[in-house]
Amino acid sequence: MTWSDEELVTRSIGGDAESFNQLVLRWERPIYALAYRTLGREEDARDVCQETFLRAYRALSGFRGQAKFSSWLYRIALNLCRDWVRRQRRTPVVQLPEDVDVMELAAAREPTEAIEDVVARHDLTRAVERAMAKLPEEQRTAIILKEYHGLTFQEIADLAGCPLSTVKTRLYQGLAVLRRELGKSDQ
Amino acid sequence: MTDFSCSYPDREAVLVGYLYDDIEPSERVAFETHVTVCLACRAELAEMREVRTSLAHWTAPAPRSHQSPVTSHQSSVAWWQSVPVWAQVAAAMLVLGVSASIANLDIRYDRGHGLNVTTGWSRPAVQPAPQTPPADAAPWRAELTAMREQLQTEMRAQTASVRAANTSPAPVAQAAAMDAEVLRRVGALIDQSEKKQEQQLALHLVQLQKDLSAQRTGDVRRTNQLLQNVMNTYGDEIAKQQRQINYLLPAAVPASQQR
Repeated sequence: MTWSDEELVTRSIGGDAESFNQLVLRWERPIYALAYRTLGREEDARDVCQETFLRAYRALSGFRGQAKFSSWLYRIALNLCRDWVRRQRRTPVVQLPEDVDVMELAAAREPTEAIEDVVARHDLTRAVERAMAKLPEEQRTAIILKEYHGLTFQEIADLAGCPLSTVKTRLYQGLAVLRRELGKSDQ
Repeated sequence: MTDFSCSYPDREAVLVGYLYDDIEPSERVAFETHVTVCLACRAELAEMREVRTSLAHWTAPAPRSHQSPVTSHQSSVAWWQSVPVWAQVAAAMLVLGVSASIANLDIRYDRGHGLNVTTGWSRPAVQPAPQTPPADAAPWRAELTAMREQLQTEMRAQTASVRAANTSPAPVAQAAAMDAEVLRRVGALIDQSEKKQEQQLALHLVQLQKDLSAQRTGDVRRTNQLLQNVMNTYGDEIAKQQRQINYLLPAAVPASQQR
């Protein structure tokens, strides 16, 4: 039987550690991806991901269910990312994972994929990373949450603590910057 | 840069909402109708969709560890489960033997029977039958005999239990588990080796592509240089001939035609 997030939370609060483990397994990948795209480094993303679940576990009894569990988790992760960036006193630098290079990408290619296509795909990924790194934090977060996590505008607004119209504006402006930057890299 | 000027009300918000399909149905219909007639909105929508297509290429790597933060602090595997089965059996036997020896240890001494030490669970069963000692035997001799018999009985029981433990399915299961572990490790080594070979192949392919690309660039540069040289040479030659023609032409034209 598949429990909903909220049911698993209730069971976890009741002392069932296995239920919380299921929540971790269910949400580990999205939270890690969010942290990775926000911070740009694998080990930072791993630390933030782990810290997110630890904080969630400690604060589980305080979760009242006003928002979805996932939104609550995203909020913890985003706050941690923000603190992380401030503590490191640097803007997030989106870069390729340390141990991934074009050779590894080539080795991981689809059997039918030509090496030229792999290199082109890799170049496009780099271009997207560079373009995303140029966005202000609010625009980048809005785009990440919408584009890669499928949150609604309202959910993003709740997470960011800003009006709905602001979220839409951030998205529009962010996409406009990306269009310009990606256009440059095409030339 | 493309000009996207359009006076549609709240255009940016509606366009983004339409792009992500996060818009009220009535707004969607209205904007769809507008897009059919507005070139600027249509063009911008197409470009935004291209951006989204590019964004889809940015994949995050999978997290390496799937270990739960809860289980990492509260290990779900008890420490004793990591001890080999044979060691657990041996330890259990030792504890059992010592406990059995100590549990019913009984030391008595009286004038009639002298020193009497008994051990084991079934004292009454192994209690030696009362014997009438020979008149010439010392009183301790019978006691010593009884103790020896009791000890022999216990040793036989111990030996039998050890044999039973050795013939139990635990060692078989342990051997099977070890075999499975060895197989798993060999499998992992083979996988690593294959991955390494594949990476080396990819490395060679990429290097080959780079070499070819460098060669091609060099060839193109040399060809351009050659063409430039040819053009320069022939250009000079043509210019020279042109000057000669210009010099000779007025002389060749009759004076009547010049007039």
